[in-house]
Amino acid sequence: MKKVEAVLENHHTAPISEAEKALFTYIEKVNLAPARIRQEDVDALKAVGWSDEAIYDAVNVCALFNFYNRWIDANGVGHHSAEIYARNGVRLAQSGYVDAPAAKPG
Amino acid sequence: MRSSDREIIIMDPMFLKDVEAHQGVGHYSSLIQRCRETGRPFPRIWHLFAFKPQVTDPLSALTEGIMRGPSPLPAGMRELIAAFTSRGNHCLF
Repeated sequence: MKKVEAVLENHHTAPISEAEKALFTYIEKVNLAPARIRQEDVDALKAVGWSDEAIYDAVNVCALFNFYNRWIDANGVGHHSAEIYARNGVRLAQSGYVDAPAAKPG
Repeated sequence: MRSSDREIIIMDPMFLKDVEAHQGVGHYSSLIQRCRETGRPFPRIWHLFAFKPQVTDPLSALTEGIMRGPSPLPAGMRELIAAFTSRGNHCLF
């Protein structure tokens, strides 16, 4: 969890590889200034070893969560108790994002 | 304590009352119903999924594919990118 917090706090100083730092720098730009992404931004990622597929998948996650962030904030869903976060974490770990059939005990 | 009391304590009301009160027939509606009956708290994003299952069922599948499908990025790394994105948007999700 320390690593997670460190990345969320400041990915430049977090205990992760240079390649991972480059990926988070890129994702930060995708998130906050997507219209300013240029070929050079992608070339920098390729230079530290990321494949097209990895970059594509990372952008998918960022784009998807921009949808969720807006969906949740606009609907006033934001304030969950820690208990719910804990339960949800367990649920995600057990069954993934597509929930198990309703008949299965939750 | 009645389940409705507990829910009020834990959760602020959503902005769209019809969406929150909607009693549908989809998977998420039955999950919500079951939690209400047993007094268990649940993530309120379920209300957003329950309101229009024909729209949100593909969203669940899309999310599963992006977050858990085959990828050179481990699922944990994708979760971290998601959290990093949410933090950048000042969203608690």
